[in-house]
Amino acid sequence: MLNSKSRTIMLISLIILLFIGVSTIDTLNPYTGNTIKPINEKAPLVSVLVDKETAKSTQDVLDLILKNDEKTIELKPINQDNNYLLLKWNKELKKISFYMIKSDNQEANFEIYSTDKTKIASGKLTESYKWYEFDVSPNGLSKENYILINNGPSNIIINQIVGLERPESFSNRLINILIEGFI
Amino acid sequence: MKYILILILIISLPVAEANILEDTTNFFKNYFSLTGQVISKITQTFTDEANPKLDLTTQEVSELKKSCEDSDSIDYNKKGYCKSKLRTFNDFCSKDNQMVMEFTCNEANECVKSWYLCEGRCFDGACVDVVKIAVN
Repeated sequence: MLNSKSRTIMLISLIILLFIGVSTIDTLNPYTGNTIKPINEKAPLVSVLVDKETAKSTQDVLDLILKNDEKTIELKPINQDNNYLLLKWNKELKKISFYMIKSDNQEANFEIYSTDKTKIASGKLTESYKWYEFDVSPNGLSKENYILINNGPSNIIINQIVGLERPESFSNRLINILIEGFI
Repeated sequence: MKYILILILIISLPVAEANILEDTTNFFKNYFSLTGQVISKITQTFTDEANPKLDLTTQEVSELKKSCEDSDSIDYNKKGYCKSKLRTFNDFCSKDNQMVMEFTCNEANECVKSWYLCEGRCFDGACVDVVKIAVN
């Protein structure tokens, strides 16, 4: 009933749809990390302590902030320890959240910067564990990399860190789907 | 009669065509000269804006430095604004009223922003004590 031209067109359309379908399955189930936060909030890809003098990584602490468990990072004041916490995601974020507490009854002043020295947030921690959620969607605050600095005098204990990545634009997503499909 | 008309048409065509061509040439000549003038004027304006006069007086330099104004000088307990050449930004609270978005001037005289975690709550663009809110 169908001539050969129509059959070819239908076959090509079917193949394209199949590629889109297969690649969409992958993008709909992103890696989420182990966290009690909503499924679309991801742990960072990199979490390391960095020496401010040498700018070299001194300790990989990613494992300590991934799960909702007893493991924590204890970030000492930068004037005592010289270390800050560097966090990297795959994409720019819309929201960054820290589950943290100060270690004693002294003040724990913290600052969050992006790696291009843009100040994102600052404040003082309390004596009980709390989620600190910073909306970084406003223009200029959305970055892939962030730095947490403890200005003391108390230590900061961090249990979990997650970020909500910025959604891709429709055109970018479509291009990625097509590329993934053909690869 | 028909042949005569065709003959007249054939003779007059080059003349008419010449006129049309001349008109068109003039039109485009004028058009481009006009757009050229406009473009030149716009470019001059941009150049003037990009390169302000070099012989600035002390007062003019001082005025330029003041091109960014922070009304509360990073006072989290006051609702302030940051006014740059481009626009004005007002301090505002986060959705959960835990933080204030504080605007201030940077070294380049631009308005920059960052969150500050209030010790009490954020109310109408400023950090306030929880007791104060309860009284109000």
